Amino acid sequence: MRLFFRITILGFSTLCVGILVNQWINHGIRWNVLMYSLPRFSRLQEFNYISADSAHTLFIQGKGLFIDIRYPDDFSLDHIPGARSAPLLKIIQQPELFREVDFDSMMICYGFEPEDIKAKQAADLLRRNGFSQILVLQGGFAEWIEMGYPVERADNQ
Amino acid sequence: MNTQWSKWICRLLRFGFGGLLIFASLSKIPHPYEFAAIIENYRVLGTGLSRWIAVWSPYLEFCIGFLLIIGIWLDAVSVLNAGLMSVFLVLVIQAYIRHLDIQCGCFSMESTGVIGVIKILENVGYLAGSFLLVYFVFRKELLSKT
Repeated sequence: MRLFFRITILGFSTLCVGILVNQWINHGIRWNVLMYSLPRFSRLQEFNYISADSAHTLFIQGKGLFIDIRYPDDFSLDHIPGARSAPLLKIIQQPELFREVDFDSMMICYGFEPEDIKAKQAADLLRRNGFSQILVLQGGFAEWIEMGYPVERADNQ
Repeated sequence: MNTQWSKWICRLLRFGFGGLLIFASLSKIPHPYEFAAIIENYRVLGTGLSRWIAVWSPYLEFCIGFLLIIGIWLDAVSVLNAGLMSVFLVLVIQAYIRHLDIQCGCFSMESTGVIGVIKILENVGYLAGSFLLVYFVFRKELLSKT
């Protein structure tokens, strides 16, 4: 009984300390992100993926804002024309990053890898910031290149 | 085993695990998002739960490590330590079986390379040590009661 009590106290108090410290440290996981991460609040599983083909159609129609979540160095080498560079850390640090963008605008997040985990996290954060139409490029930038779709490269700029 | 020996082994295990856990937690505490991504890479928990674990486990590790070193609530912390080591081992084994090409992240955020047999054996060693510590702690308690 005493052992159980002590384990419970240790478990609960460290969880509380963890939550509190994360509100304070740089790049900590904030309370609202944690609450959003609870299964009943989470919508990460509901993210809509978009294929490179469909994304290309949107690109031709000029619909949707492409968000490149890779590092700025990678972005400067090549990216989808018109895409905005927004590494995950930048979205976390600057929630006001897309303040000029309408909350109902379509946003397509992509990383390099297919079903890029950082692209999903970025999409998660953007949704938390109020954007309602977030898509994740399923095959990532890798598939976009593979399909031969337009790419803006450093030497083109 | 004579009492003097077991006392020293118990101390060695306490300080060893204590130092290891504090070292491990200090590398994780400043980078919760990165640690959450490492947890998620094991493909056992989703993003949400990985974040909760990333917020909680480094502080639990630190607390266990600290209490092991100063010797308070040894029964509870030794059991929690064995529990942590068991979880690490299970995660590493399942990652190995599933051929996941991921970084371990057990004791450092910077460890790289595929999880292999050596990593599993290392974790088996930690688990054995943690159970030995539980044995010594409870044996000592039993002896002190009788």
